[in-house]
Amino acid sequence: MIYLLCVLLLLIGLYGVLVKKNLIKIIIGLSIMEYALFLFFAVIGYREGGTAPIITKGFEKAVFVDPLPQALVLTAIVIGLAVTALLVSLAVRIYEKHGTFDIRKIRRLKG
Amino acid sequence: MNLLHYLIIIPFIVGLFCLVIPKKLSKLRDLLAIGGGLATFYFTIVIFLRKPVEWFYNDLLLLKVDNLSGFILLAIGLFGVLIVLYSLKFMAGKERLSEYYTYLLWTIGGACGAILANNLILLLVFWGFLGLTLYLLIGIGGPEATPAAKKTFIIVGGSDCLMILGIAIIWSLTGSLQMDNISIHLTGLLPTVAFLALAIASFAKAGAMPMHTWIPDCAEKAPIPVTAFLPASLDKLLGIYLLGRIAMDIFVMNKAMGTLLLIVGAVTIIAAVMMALVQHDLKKLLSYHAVSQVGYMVLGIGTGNPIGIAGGIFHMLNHAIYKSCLFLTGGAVEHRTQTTNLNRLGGLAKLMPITFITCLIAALSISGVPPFNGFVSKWMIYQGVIQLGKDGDKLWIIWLVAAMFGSALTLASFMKLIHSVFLGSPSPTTPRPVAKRNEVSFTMWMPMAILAGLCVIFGVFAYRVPLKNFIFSAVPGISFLGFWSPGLATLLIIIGIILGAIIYWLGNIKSLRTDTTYVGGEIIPQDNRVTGVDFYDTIKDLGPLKVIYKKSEKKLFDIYDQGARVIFLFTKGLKKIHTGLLPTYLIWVLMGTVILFFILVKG
Repeated sequence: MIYLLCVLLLLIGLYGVLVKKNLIKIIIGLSIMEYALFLFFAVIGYREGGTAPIITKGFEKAVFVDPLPQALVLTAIVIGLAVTALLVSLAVRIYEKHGTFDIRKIRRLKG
Repeated sequence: MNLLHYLIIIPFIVGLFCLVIPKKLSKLRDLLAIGGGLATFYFTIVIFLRKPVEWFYNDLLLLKVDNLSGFILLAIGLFGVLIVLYSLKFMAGKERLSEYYTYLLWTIGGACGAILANNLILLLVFWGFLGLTLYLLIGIGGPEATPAAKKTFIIVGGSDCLMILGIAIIWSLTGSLQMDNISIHLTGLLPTVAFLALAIASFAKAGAMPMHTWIPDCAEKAPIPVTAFLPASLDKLLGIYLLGRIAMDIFVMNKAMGTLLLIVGAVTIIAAVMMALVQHDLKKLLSYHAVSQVGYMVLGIGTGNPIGIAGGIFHMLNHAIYKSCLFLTGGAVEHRTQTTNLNRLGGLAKLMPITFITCLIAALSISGVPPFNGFVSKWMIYQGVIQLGKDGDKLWIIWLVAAMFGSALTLASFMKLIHSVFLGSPSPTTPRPVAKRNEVSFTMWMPMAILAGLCVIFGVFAYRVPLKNFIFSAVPGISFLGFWSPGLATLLIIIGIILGAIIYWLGNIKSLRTDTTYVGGEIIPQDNRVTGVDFYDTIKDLGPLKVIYKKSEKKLFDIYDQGARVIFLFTKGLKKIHTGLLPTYLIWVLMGTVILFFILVKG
């Protein structure tokens, strides 16, 4: 059931990417899609009644959540940050060149 | 390392060095370029003397030199050196010179590779590489050369696709790609398609009629040494070499295909020379002749008898020599006067005597005037056509008339060129050269003089030098129909010239009185002169020809423009889908992914 929420979040992001005409909103949509995936990974690693996977005194035999997806997501968040920064800087350049964020007006690909 | 590898490796490595040498050391770069050309030429001579040379890789005969390819290699080496030498002065001070020399050397290496290759795939690789360097070399001409370069690339590259098709069919028919052990009879559909595909590839390279349209555009925009090197000489050598290979070695010719070649040859000769007659630009006029002369070579090979094929191949060699020479003289004229418009030229014979004489020799040679080399090869082609008639071809008289008439028209259009560039009265709009030395520099007239000298040697000593060493060994079983003694003819012609000179001299003993023209007291304007540009302009208004000229001005016969029209019609619907909105494309991608996902999950 909780996975369905992840898919919902992903679809919201996809809606933003596909339908919105403003470049900044598209970038936000992409970020939302990213977060949906992060959430999905974190949820996969969850175990019933688990604690943070840090071995300390008295917790040697406790139930831990899976640490691998967490490590992955941590890396992915940093990469996502860099990607967003790159996208935004590209958007700034496009704005300087075309004077607009409206992608209907930036149509170099028109056949 | 085999001897044959040097021919390919040396130009490539030297070219690479030319590319990376810093701009400050331009002298070193020039030296390197000419050194690379000379080294390649040296190895072509060594290989020519040692032929046949072969190179096996795992029992697969990949590179070889035989009697046909040996002298073509020699010619490539010679032209490479001459063009680099000529470019030193002509191209000096132009942009992107390092790239220019690199591409030039790579072209030499690629051409050697294509001629050496015995494997069809290897041939295809070098062939494609040559198309690329041709595109890059035309692009050196600056931004206005880009459309011409694109057109060339599309026509030559498109015909390369057909070549792949032909090679694929050959492989499926015989299971072999070695050129020396394939022999296909032209019966049935598949062999015919393969032959046509390869023939079209060679037509596009050499510039025969339906695929010729890139040559005039390229000649107009590209730097002249490039035109003199690629469309005028190297591409003819390669294209006709391939045609000769497929007609003599790979396929066993039949009558229908031979007749097709004859038709292509005859149409090319006449149509291109008619276009050349009415040109107003030196470079364009020469380029249409470069197309017209291909017709003779195709006609010669199409006759299918030894004398005709030998004539076609000999004409290919001769054409490379005189057409290169003509383009180089055109370059010298452009270098001095900064224009190639015939209307703005005139009276250059006194200012540039060496250019004039070399151009005159090459022009007489291309027109097939004895005793120059063009006559000998054309005469051999005529014999081939007559032999064809003896063997029972009903239409031989048409081919013969087309060839002879084309030759006459060639002479006519070169009279126009010689008159309006070198003779006639000087044009007031031509920038007058100021220095006393008006002739171009040594490195520029040297290649022209060598080529003109070759024209004379190959004509006067036709049997002893080129035919004996190059042609007879390549095409076995030649028997001449007629009698021609070049030495005697030359002697008679020289005697005639001396007689004429004596008469001229006798007439001039009493010094002539010259006066300004008097036309009823009218003051004659300075620009009222006979330029020769309007020679033959009246044929444009000649009944049915008028329609054809009008149509060809609208590019109705240009396969490139017609092809573009068809393709644009085809893509009209597809264009509407391209909105340029990125999300639309994304939706397409997503839909495709979903469909693929369903199919994969189900399967």
